[in-house]
Amino acid sequence: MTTYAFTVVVDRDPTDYADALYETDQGDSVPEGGNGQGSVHVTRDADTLAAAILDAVHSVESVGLVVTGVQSDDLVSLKDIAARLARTYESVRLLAAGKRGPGRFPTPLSTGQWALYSWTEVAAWFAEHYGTERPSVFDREIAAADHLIRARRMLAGDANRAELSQLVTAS
Amino acid sequence: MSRKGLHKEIRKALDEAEATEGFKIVEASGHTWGWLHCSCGMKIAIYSTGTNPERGAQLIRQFIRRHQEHR
Repeated sequence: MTTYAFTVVVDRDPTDYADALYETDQGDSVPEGGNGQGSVHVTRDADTLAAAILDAVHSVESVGLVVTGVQSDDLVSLKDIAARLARTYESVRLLAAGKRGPGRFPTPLSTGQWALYSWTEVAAWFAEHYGTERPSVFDREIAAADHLIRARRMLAGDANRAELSQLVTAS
Repeated sequence: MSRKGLHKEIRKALDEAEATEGFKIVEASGHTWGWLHCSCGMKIAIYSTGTNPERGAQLIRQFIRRHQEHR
């Protein structure tokens, strides 16, 4: 068993549910809210992070909240990447554009005026080509869990939901 | 404000919050001992009991650190 600590994002201010969350989790789910935002800080003993997140989703939703994501620092701009790797913005921009370095820089998750990238993908790319630190399994799985929970909400009631879930393991 | 019954780590974290500008501690009733408020409008629950008071103290400190960033 490992103790996991993470934060789930919920669909409304969870501070009105503080006593109910306490009764469900004996203080292992701590609400934070206000200004139209809400999250619940969770601590769980489990064999895997996936099991811990699944258990947290069940217990947080049992009080009437809906989990809409898992908080992570995964979504980053080129400026963020430069800061995290102590590189200049220009060097990261050139690497991302394929004008310098080995190429095949991770594709952005969003495009347009401000492209946003997955930090776990970018960190893995830099680790492979420049020997920097690899992203941890925890960071990678937390980032993926956030996308999966958002997909769950997006696909609620969708007839092809079960089939779409197979995309996670498609090879 | 009585902090009797609070775990010493939570008491220490609340002392740090009180010493930091922009934070306010408000007592509550029920399972929730109280709330730590930031002047931005956000607040976090403080539980007096629970299985992991050290984690509770850590969350209070993280709340202070994160909310100091917007000052």
